Amino acid sequence: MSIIFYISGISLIIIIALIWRVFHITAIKNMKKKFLDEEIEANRKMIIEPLEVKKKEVFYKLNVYMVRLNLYSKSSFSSYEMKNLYQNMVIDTYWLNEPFHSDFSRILQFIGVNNLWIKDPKSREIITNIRDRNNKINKQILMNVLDLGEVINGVVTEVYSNLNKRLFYNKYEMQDRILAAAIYVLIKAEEIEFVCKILKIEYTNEEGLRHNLVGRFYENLSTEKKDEITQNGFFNSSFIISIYEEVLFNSNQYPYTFSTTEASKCTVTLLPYRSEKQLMNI
Amino acid sequence: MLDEQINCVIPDNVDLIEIPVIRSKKISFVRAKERVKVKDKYYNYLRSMLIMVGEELITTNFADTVVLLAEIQKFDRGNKQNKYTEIERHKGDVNLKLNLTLGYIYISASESLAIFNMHKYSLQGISLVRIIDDEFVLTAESIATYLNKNKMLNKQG
Repeated sequence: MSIIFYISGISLIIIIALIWRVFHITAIKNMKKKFLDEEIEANRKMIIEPLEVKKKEVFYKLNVYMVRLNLYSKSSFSSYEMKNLYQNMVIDTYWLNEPFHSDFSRILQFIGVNNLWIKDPKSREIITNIRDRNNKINKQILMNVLDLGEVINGVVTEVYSNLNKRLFYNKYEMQDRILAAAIYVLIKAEEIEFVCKILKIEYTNEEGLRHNLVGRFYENLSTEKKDEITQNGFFNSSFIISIYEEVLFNSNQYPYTFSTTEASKCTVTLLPYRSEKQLMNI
Repeated sequence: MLDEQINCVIPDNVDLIEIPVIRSKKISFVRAKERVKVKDKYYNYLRSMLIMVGEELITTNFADTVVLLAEIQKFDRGNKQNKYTEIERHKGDVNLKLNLTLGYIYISASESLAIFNMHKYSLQGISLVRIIDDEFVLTAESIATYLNKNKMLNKQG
């Protein structure tokens, strides 16, 4: 008898445990469902319905008709950066008034023909001794170099955008400052002594050199403006110097070999032929 | 590999490293190492080895570096036919005078041993098979592009 009670007691305990297990699993499933529903509702609150935005009236330039203008042909600029600069500064802004148009394009033509360069302030100069097959040793200097065309492109566009923000400048005042910036960059070229030899200009100090170059390139300007460009103040706009130093640190570096003989330095060509204006469709 | 030598073009899998040897006198090696991958395994080859002192590349050729290293190794046993160095005696000391375009430097006996040891250490794990047949024919322009590519023409420090 005692064995029967013993077996029945154990079987009862097992049955109770199984029933408790089934109820436990169903309870967990219900809890999970609740959490999922709460999460989905929280995500629904994050999504925002599309807003209704109304149109606005904005002034927009639209040039539909063909216009005939007196312009210099783009083949006379010879490098693509100078072409872009001429397009941006003269044609797009419609600055075709006379002393500025021909003077500014003359200095662009000169820089486009000659591959002038500026020494990179970050680079170091390494001397090399290279032996020929004839057992001659050539000494050359290696350094990083910046293209003057890229630098003048950066400086002039930056000066123009900086002047555009200040609303109190006239159109003619902006043109004078851009001419001053172009001359300031040209003087910084490393080959400026050879430029002076070929243009037959005396090289004494920086201010005298600037005076002579202005007389050569900007022939039609009045004498008062010429004097103001040559001064160190540049029409009381000292931001030209800070923009120039900013552009130097962000322009591309090119490797360059610089031999000490004079024949390799004298690569500066004369001013290009005085190209005349032509009637062009734009 | 023949096209490289004709056009003086330097391939992409070559690295140029500046190995400082004696920091107080700015003597350093410039090593060009080629890396070739064959079946998940890298092989290193030496393609050129130059010596730089300060801001001047004294040798631009592997044969010239071997000559200079031999002169440094022989030290006081060299004679007047030395190409790059001169032996100078001053108050009992023997020094090696290395002429540069701007000035000169002196190399002592222990420094010459250090340079030669450093040359041995810099060749560890690198095969010398390609240095004789396929050495880079370096011109000034190719060295300039090469240094610019590895950003060694920028000022350091």
